[in-house]
Amino acid sequence: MSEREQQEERYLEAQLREELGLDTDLSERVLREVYAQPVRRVIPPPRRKPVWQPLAAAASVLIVAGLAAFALVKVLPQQNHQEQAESLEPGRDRETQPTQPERGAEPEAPEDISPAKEEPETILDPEPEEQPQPEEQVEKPTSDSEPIKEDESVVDTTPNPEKEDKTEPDGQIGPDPNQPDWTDPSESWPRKNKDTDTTPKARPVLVSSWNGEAIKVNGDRFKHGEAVEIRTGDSVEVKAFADFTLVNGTLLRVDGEITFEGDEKEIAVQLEDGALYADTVAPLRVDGDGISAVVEGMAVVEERLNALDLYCLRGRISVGEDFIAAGFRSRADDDGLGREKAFTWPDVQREFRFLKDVPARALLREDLDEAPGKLFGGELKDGVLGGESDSATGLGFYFRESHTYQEGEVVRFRFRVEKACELILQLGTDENGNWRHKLGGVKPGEWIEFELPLAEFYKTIDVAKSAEPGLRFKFFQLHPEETTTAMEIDWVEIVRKPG
Amino acid sequence: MRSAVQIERLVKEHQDGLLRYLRYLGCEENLAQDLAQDTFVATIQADFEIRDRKATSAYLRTTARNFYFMWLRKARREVALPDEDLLESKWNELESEDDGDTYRRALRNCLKGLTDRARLALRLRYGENASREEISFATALEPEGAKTLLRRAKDKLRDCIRKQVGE
Repeated sequence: MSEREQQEERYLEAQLREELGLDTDLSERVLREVYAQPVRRVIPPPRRKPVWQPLAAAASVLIVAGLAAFALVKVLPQQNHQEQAESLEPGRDRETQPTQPERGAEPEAPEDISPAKEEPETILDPEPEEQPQPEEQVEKPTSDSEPIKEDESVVDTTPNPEKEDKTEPDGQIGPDPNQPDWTDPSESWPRKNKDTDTTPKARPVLVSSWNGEAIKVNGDRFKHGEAVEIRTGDSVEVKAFADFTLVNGTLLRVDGEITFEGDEKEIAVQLEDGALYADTVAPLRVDGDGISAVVEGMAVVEERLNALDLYCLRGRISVGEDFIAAGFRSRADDDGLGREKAFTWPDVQREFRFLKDVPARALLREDLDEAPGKLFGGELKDGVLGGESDSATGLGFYFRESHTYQEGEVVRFRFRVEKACELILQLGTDENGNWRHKLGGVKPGEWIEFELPLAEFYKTIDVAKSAEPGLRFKFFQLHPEETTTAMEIDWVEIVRKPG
Repeated sequence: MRSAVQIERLVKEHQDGLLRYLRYLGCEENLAQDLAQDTFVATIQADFEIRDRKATSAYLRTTARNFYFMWLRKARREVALPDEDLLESKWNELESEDDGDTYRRALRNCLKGLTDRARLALRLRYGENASREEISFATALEPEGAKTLLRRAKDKLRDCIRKQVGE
């Protein structure tokens, strides 16, 4: 479906929702939101200091002083009651013992009450809880016994060591010191220490190697050749495209951005953007835009608007209970899989430029740094198997273990011959004889990389019989035909390729 | 800040088109309504000067699109949307000059040409957000059959609308 057709499709669906759905009236919602919402401010308004604040503070001091004096008068009468009773006329008691101190007026302390005069400091130097508070607390003095931060406009009559350390402005924007955590020892604070942080180590590594121009892993850039551990939860963005070999052997080629998920046993990727090619060893779940597809084989998955475009190259791609077979493509969306269409590998290569260079998943590779198994003639030196060879005694070696041939596999190798000749490449199997392919007109003296599809091999004793998947190859052997030459083999690999 | 009456008028005049546009971008129903609400609130708070219907509509669409992109980023759903110009040109083409009325009339006519079962499936899917299983149950078809029924119904509608709008 082309871009325009997709847009038409979405427009049709939008119209269908409007036509067949319930009428929607947003006006009430909008009105409620508009009128309920306070005006948004990014920066809090400055704290105001009203001009009457000092006056209010002074008044508070007087009130507090009055209250203290009144309290003294109430406490002391036991001592002086008799004396006062004699010196005052009857009924005078009610006038000198006000039940409620008048605001703003300093209560008059009785002149003849000496204790009240002896302790003026207790009035002028009130306890912390009686200190004048900021404006909003003036009329409601707190009874809390903790020292309270004083307003700057009030004369500080009590030494307050905390004030020296006070670094927060009035409108405190830091953490609340009253919160219990604030006073926790600093060792208990969380630290971002890469050396001691063990959290990432709990996430399994999912990628064993990568190859590409450059990638960004969680925003950190890595150039070609730089090693990086890619773990579950890591987001990877690639420049151009990059290949990732997963720990289970699956090959991913990514053009875009993905996030790795799952664990070693069940790897999954979230396709955030772009497309990916997958050649899987185990089922690989690919999520994108709320759609989930499971690739078992080779596939290309492209992220679309609320959908995934799926191209099945080999094996199958499952979406829920539906699946697409090899050679077909479809779009998966909320409705499941769409119409299937046949396609070919060249179609895919035209559609996706990042697949122009065919990705190949290595299934077997021998660098010949050491003998993988028994050698046929020649000897290993500096990672190269070399020696004289003729049509009867080729150069070769047994694999570490037999390799079962699957569809789409090719054998690749790098070699050099001393004399121009024709070569025979022979692969031996466990139970079904040897299979060979002829290489004509090999140039002498230069390293050559050669690639042969296993499907093009034929049986040594029956040339009409082509190799078929399922054969279990156990050795690799190269020898010249009807001549003798020195020969070197650098490496050999069997890879799987689409197409 | 506009009065309640002005706000209500603005919303009622543009909500259908805005919801349609958000659905066209790919929003599911609840998200479309939420983003449309955010769009109106932001527009009202920005004291957007209403000149004419077309300009207002375009302004609302742009705001809605930005909200949708923000939502996609927040939800880490980086969707490759077509170029904004392409989106707009296709939208304008489909809406024509009458806010999609011609298209809607054609859709109504074409719906009549479908079988009862296809109409039921469409109504359940697009009118009631029913799942494929629910549609399958209501239409007495296998889930796969319900999917095919919906797809064919939409194909028929699209062809029919093209003919009618073209005429």
